[in-house]
Amino acid sequence: MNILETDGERLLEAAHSLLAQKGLTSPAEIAERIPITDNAGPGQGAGMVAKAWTDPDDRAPDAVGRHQRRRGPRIPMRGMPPLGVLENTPEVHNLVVCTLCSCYPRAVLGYPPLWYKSAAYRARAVRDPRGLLAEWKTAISPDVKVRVVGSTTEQLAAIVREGGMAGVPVPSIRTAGKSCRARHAVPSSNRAPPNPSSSHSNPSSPGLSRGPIQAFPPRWVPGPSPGMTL
Amino acid sequence: MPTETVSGTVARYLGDFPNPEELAFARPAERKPLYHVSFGMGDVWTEQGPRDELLVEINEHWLEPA
Repeated sequence: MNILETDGERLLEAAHSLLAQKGLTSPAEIAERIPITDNAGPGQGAGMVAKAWTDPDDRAPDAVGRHQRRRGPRIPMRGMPPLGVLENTPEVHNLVVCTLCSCYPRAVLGYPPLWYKSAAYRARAVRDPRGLLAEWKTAISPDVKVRVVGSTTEQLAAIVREGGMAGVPVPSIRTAGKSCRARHAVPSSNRAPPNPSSSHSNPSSPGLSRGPIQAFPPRWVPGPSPGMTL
Repeated sequence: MPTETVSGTVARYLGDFPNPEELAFARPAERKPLYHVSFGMGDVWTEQGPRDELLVEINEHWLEPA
Protein backbone atom coordinates (compact mmCIF):
# COMPACT_ATOMS: atom_id res chain seq x y z
CA MET A 1 0.00 0.00 0.00
CA ASN A 2 1.30 3.40 -0.91
CA ILE A 3 0.69 5.78 1.97
CA LEU A 4 0.62 8.75 -0.39
CA GLU A 5 -2.31 7.27 -2.28
CA THR A 6 -4.30 6.24 0.78
CA ASP A 7 -7.44 8.13 1.58
CA GLY A 8 -6.59 10.92 4.01
CA GLU A 9 -9.64 10.35 6.18
CA ARG A 10 -8.73 6.71 6.67
CA LEU A 11 -5.15 7.62 7.56
CA LEU A 12 -6.39 10.17 10.06
CA GLU A 13 -8.75 7.64 11.58
CA ALA A 14 -5.92 5.11 11.87
CA ALA A 15 -3.65 7.70 13.50
CA HIS A 16 -6.38 8.64 15.99
CA SER A 17 -6.92 5.00 16.82
CA LEU A 18 -3.20 4.31 17.34
CA LEU A 19 -2.78 7.38 19.56
CA ALA A 20 -5.74 6.27 21.67
CA GLN A 21 -4.50 2.67 21.87
CA LYS A 22 -1.12 3.84 23.10
CA GLY A 23 -2.77 6.10 25.63
CA LEU A 24 -1.11 9.21 24.17
CA THR A 25 -4.34 11.08 23.65
CA SER A 26 -8.07 10.44 23.52
CA PRO A 27 -10.78 11.20 20.97
CA ALA A 28 -12.21 13.69 23.47
CA GLU A 29 -8.91 15.53 23.75
CA ILE A 30 -8.52 15.64 19.98
CA ALA A 31 -12.07 16.96 19.62
CA GLU A 32 -11.31 19.62 22.23
CA ARG A 33 -8.09 20.74 20.50
CA ILE A 34 -9.43 21.00 16.95
CA PRO A 35 -11.53 24.18 17.45
CA ILE A 36 -8.76 25.75 19.55
CA THR A 37 -6.25 25.21 16.78
CA ASP A 38 -8.69 26.19 14.04
CA ASN A 39 -9.59 29.41 15.82
CA ALA A 40 -6.03 30.42 16.66
CA GLY A 41 -4.65 33.19 14.53
CA PRO A 42 -2.03 35.93 14.54
CA GLY A 43 -4.51 38.25 16.24
CA GLN A 44 -4.20 36.22 19.43
CA GLY A 45 -0.45 36.62 19.52
CA ALA A 46 -0.83 40.31 18.79
CA GLY A 47 -3.29 40.67 21.64
CA MET A 48 -0.98 38.91 24.08
CA VAL A 49 1.97 41.05 23.08
CA ALA A 50 -0.02 44.28 23.25
CA LYS A 51 -1.49 43.41 26.63
CA ALA A 52 1.85 42.42 28.13
CA TRP A 53 3.60 45.49 26.77
CA THR A 54 1.11 47.92 28.22
CA ASP A 55 2.72 47.02 31.55
CA PRO A 56 6.03 48.92 31.42
CA ASP A 57 7.79 46.24 33.49
CA ASP A 58 6.82 43.69 30.92
CA ARG A 59 8.42 45.25 27.90
CA ALA A 60 11.23 42.76 27.66
CA PRO A 61 12.13 39.60 25.70
CA ASP A 62 10.08 37.33 27.97
CA ALA A 63 7.26 39.83 28.44
CA VAL A 64 4.43 37.54 27.44
CA GLY A 65 5.80 34.61 29.42
CA ARG A 66 6.00 36.68 32.59
CA HIS A 67 2.61 38.22 31.96
CA GLN A 68 1.10 34.75 31.60
CA ARG A 69 2.78 33.46 34.73
CA ARG A 70 1.52 36.38 36.77
CA ARG A 71 -1.97 36.76 35.42
CA GLY A 72 -2.61 33.26 34.18
CA PRO A 73 -2.73 32.10 30.59
CA ARG A 74 -5.40 33.55 28.36
CA ILE A 75 -4.61 31.05 25.66
CA PRO A 76 -4.19 27.36 26.45
CA MET A 77 -0.74 26.25 25.32
CA ARG A 78 0.19 22.61 25.62
CA GLY A 79 3.05 22.14 28.06
CA MET A 80 3.13 25.88 28.72
CA PRO A 81 6.36 26.49 26.83
CA PRO A 82 8.00 29.83 27.51
CA LEU A 83 7.00 32.33 24.91
CA GLY A 84 9.58 34.83 23.78
CA VAL A 85 8.81 38.08 22.04
CA LEU A 86 11.42 39.81 19.94
CA GLU A 87 11.31 43.54 19.43
CA ASN A 88 12.44 45.01 16.15
CA THR A 89 14.20 48.31 16.72
CA PRO A 90 15.77 50.93 14.44
CA GLU A 91 19.08 49.06 15.00
CA VAL A 92 18.02 45.41 14.79
CA HIS A 93 15.66 43.48 12.53
CA ASN A 94 14.80 39.99 13.81
CA LEU A 95 14.07 37.13 11.45
CA VAL A 96 12.72 33.94 13.01
CA VAL A 97 13.29 30.50 11.56
CA CYS A 98 13.14 26.96 12.79
CA THR A 99 15.89 25.14 10.92
CA LEU A 100 15.12 21.78 12.44
CA CYS A 101 11.47 21.03 11.82
CA SER A 102 9.55 24.32 11.45
CA CYS A 103 8.32 24.64 15.04
CA TYR A 104 5.65 27.32 15.24
CA PRO A 105 3.59 28.68 18.12
CA ARG A 106 0.26 27.54 16.72
CA ALA A 107 -1.62 28.24 19.93
CA VAL A 108 -1.05 31.96 19.50
CA LEU A 109 -0.52 32.35 15.76
CA GLY A 110 -2.58 29.60 14.18
CA TYR A 111 -1.40 27.40 11.35
CA PRO A 112 2.02 28.25 9.99
CA PRO A 113 2.21 29.61 6.48
CA LEU A 114 3.48 26.96 4.07
CA TRP A 115 6.59 28.93 3.16
CA TYR A 116 7.67 28.97 6.82
CA LYS A 117 7.92 25.19 6.72
CA SER A 118 9.66 25.01 3.36
CA ALA A 119 13.20 23.72 3.15
CA ALA A 120 14.08 26.74 1.01
CA TYR A 121 13.02 29.29 3.63
CA ARG A 122 14.66 27.37 6.45
CA ALA A 123 17.94 27.02 4.58
CA ARG A 124 18.12 30.50 3.13
CA ALA A 125 16.99 32.40 6.22
CA VAL A 126 20.14 31.41 8.07
CA ARG A 127 22.53 31.78 5.15
CA ASP A 128 21.37 34.77 3.18
CA PRO A 129 18.67 36.54 5.18
CA ARG A 130 19.07 39.88 3.41
CA GLY A 131 18.83 38.29 -0.02
CA LEU A 132 15.79 36.30 1.03
CA LEU A 133 14.04 39.34 2.49
CA ALA A 134 14.88 41.43 -0.55
CA GLU A 135 13.14 38.91 -2.79
CA TRP A 136 10.03 39.52 -0.69
CA LYS A 137 10.44 43.27 -1.12
CA THR A 138 11.67 43.79 2.43
CA ALA A 139 14.89 45.75 2.06
CA ILE A 140 16.81 46.05 5.30
CA SER A 141 19.06 49.08 5.48
CA PRO A 142 22.78 48.21 5.65
CA ASP A 143 23.06 50.12 8.92
CA VAL A 144 20.50 47.81 10.52
CA LYS A 145 21.73 44.52 11.92
CA VAL A 146 19.82 41.44 10.81
CA ARG A 147 19.53 38.98 13.66
CA VAL A 148 18.44 35.53 12.53
CA VAL A 149 16.87 33.79 15.50
CA GLY A 150 16.77 30.02 15.33
CA SER A 151 13.79 28.63 17.18
CA THR A 152 14.57 24.95 17.33
CA THR A 153 13.89 23.70 20.82
CA GLU A 154 11.62 24.91 23.57
CA GLN A 155 11.56 28.64 23.02
CA LEU A 156 8.91 30.06 20.80
CA ALA A 157 9.09 33.44 19.31
CA ALA A 158 6.04 35.39 18.36
CA ILE A 159 5.72 38.68 16.63
CA VAL A 160 2.53 40.35 15.88
CA ARG A 161 1.13 39.01 12.68
CA GLU A 162 1.48 36.23 10.22
CA GLY A 163 4.53 36.88 8.12
CA GLY A 164 5.33 39.69 10.52
CA MET A 165 5.68 36.98 13.10
CA ALA A 166 8.78 35.65 11.44
CA GLY A 167 10.16 39.09 10.64
CA VAL A 168 9.72 38.71 6.91
CA PRO A 169 7.87 41.94 6.17
CA VAL A 170 8.44 45.13 8.09
CA PRO A 171 5.06 45.96 9.60
CA SER A 172 3.44 49.07 8.25
CA ILE A 173 1.31 51.29 10.45
CA ARG A 174 -1.69 53.02 8.96
CA THR A 175 -2.35 56.42 10.48
CA ALA A 176 -4.76 59.06 9.22
CA GLY A 177 -5.00 57.41 5.87
CA LYS A 178 -1.24 57.32 5.39
CA SER A 179 0.77 54.16 5.42
CA CYS A 180 4.12 54.34 7.17
CA ARG A 181 6.85 51.76 7.33
CA ALA A 182 9.25 51.19 10.17
CA ARG A 183 12.25 53.48 9.97
CA HIS A 184 14.82 50.91 9.06
CA ALA A 185 13.07 49.68 5.95
CA VAL A 186 14.53 51.90 3.29
CA PRO A 187 14.64 51.50 -0.46
CA SER A 188 17.66 49.48 -1.47
CA SER A 189 18.85 52.43 -3.56
CA ASN A 190 19.10 54.57 -0.43
CA ARG A 191 21.84 52.71 1.33
CA ALA A 192 24.08 54.09 4.03
CA PRO A 193 27.39 52.68 5.21
CA PRO A 194 27.02 50.07 7.93
CA ASN A 195 27.55 50.83 11.61
CA PRO A 196 29.48 48.55 13.92
CA SER A 197 27.20 45.84 15.24
CA SER A 198 25.48 46.55 18.52
CA SER A 199 26.25 44.66 21.71
CA HIS A 200 24.00 42.41 23.74
CA SER A 201 22.30 43.20 26.97
CA ASN A 202 23.71 41.61 30.10
CA PRO A 203 22.17 38.20 30.53
CA SER A 204 22.23 36.14 33.66
CA SER A 205 23.44 32.60 33.38
CA PRO A 206 23.73 30.04 36.16
CA GLY A 207 26.12 27.61 34.50
CA LEU A 208 28.10 29.59 31.97
CA SER A 209 29.23 33.12 32.40
CA ARG A 210 28.57 35.43 29.52
CA GLY A 211 31.51 35.49 27.21
CA PRO A 212 33.14 33.68 24.34
CA ILE A 213 32.29 30.02 24.03
CA GLN A 214 32.79 27.40 21.39
CA ALA A 215 30.06 25.15 20.11
CA PHE A 216 31.01 21.55 19.58
CA PRO A 217 29.21 18.25 19.46
CA PRO A 218 30.28 15.98 22.34
CA ARG A 219 29.11 12.98 20.35
CA TRP A 220 27.23 12.23 17.22
CA VAL A 221 23.53 12.12 17.89
CA PRO A 222 21.04 10.91 15.31
CA GLY A 223 18.30 13.46 15.03
CA PRO A 224 15.12 13.99 13.11
CA SER A 225 15.39 14.23 9.38
CA PRO A 226 16.04 17.83 8.27
CA GLY A 227 13.11 17.52 5.92
CA MET A 228 10.65 16.65 8.65
CA THR A 229 7.83 19.04 9.31
CA LEU A 230 5.32 19.05 12.11
CA MET B 1 23.53 25.27 11.11
CA PRO B 2 27.27 24.64 10.89
CA THR B 3 28.19 26.25 14.21
CA GLU B 4 30.44 23.33 15.16
CA THR B 5 33.84 24.66 16.34
CA VAL B 6 32.70 28.24 15.73
CA SER B 7 33.22 30.62 18.62
CA GLY B 8 30.20 32.58 19.72
CA THR B 9 28.91 34.44 22.74
CA VAL B 10 26.36 33.31 25.29
CA ALA B 11 23.68 35.97 25.05
CA ARG B 12 21.06 34.68 27.45
CA TYR B 13 20.17 31.78 29.71
CA LEU B 14 16.75 30.56 28.66
CA GLY B 15 15.99 28.03 31.38
CA ASP B 16 16.40 24.30 31.97
CA PHE B 17 14.54 21.98 29.60
CA PRO B 18 14.31 18.21 29.09
CA ASN B 19 17.16 17.12 26.84
CA PRO B 20 15.66 16.92 23.32
CA GLU B 21 18.18 14.24 22.32
CA GLU B 22 16.46 11.90 24.78
CA LEU B 23 12.94 13.18 24.15
CA ALA B 24 13.36 12.34 20.46
CA PHE B 25 13.61 8.67 21.41
CA ALA B 26 10.92 8.81 24.12
CA ARG B 27 13.55 8.19 26.78
CA PRO B 28 13.64 9.80 30.22
CA ALA B 29 15.15 13.22 29.64
CA GLU B 30 17.28 15.07 32.15
CA ARG B 31 16.68 18.81 32.27
CA LYS B 32 19.58 20.68 30.70
CA PRO B 33 20.41 24.38 30.69
CA LEU B 34 19.60 26.06 27.39
CA TYR B 35 21.23 29.23 26.10
CA HIS B 36 20.79 31.70 23.31
CA VAL B 37 24.21 31.80 21.70
CA SER B 38 25.14 34.55 19.28
CA PHE B 39 27.39 33.94 16.29
CA GLY B 40 28.69 36.46 13.81
CA MET B 41 27.17 35.68 10.41
CA GLY B 42 30.60 36.04 8.83
CA ASP B 43 32.08 33.49 11.26
CA VAL B 44 29.59 30.86 10.16
CA TRP B 45 29.32 31.57 6.45
CA THR B 46 32.40 32.75 4.62
CA GLU B 47 30.45 34.74 2.04
CA GLN B 48 28.58 36.81 4.63
CA GLY B 49 29.73 40.04 6.17
CA PRO B 50 30.40 40.44 9.87
CA ARG B 51 27.59 42.79 10.83
CA ASP B 52 24.68 40.36 10.94
CA GLU B 53 24.10 37.80 13.63
CA LEU B 54 22.78 34.29 14.14
CA LEU B 55 21.11 33.68 17.49
CA VAL B 56 20.81 29.96 18.13
CA GLU B 57 19.49 27.88 21.01
CA ILE B 58 22.16 25.48 22.27
CA ASN B 59 22.15 23.21 25.30
CA GLU B 60 25.01 23.59 27.75
CA HIS B 61 26.46 20.15 27.05
CA TRP B 62 27.14 21.19 23.46
CA LEU B 63 29.24 24.15 24.54
CA GLU B 64 32.76 24.50 25.84
CA PRO B 65 34.66 27.59 26.99
CA ALA B 66 36.54 29.23 24.12
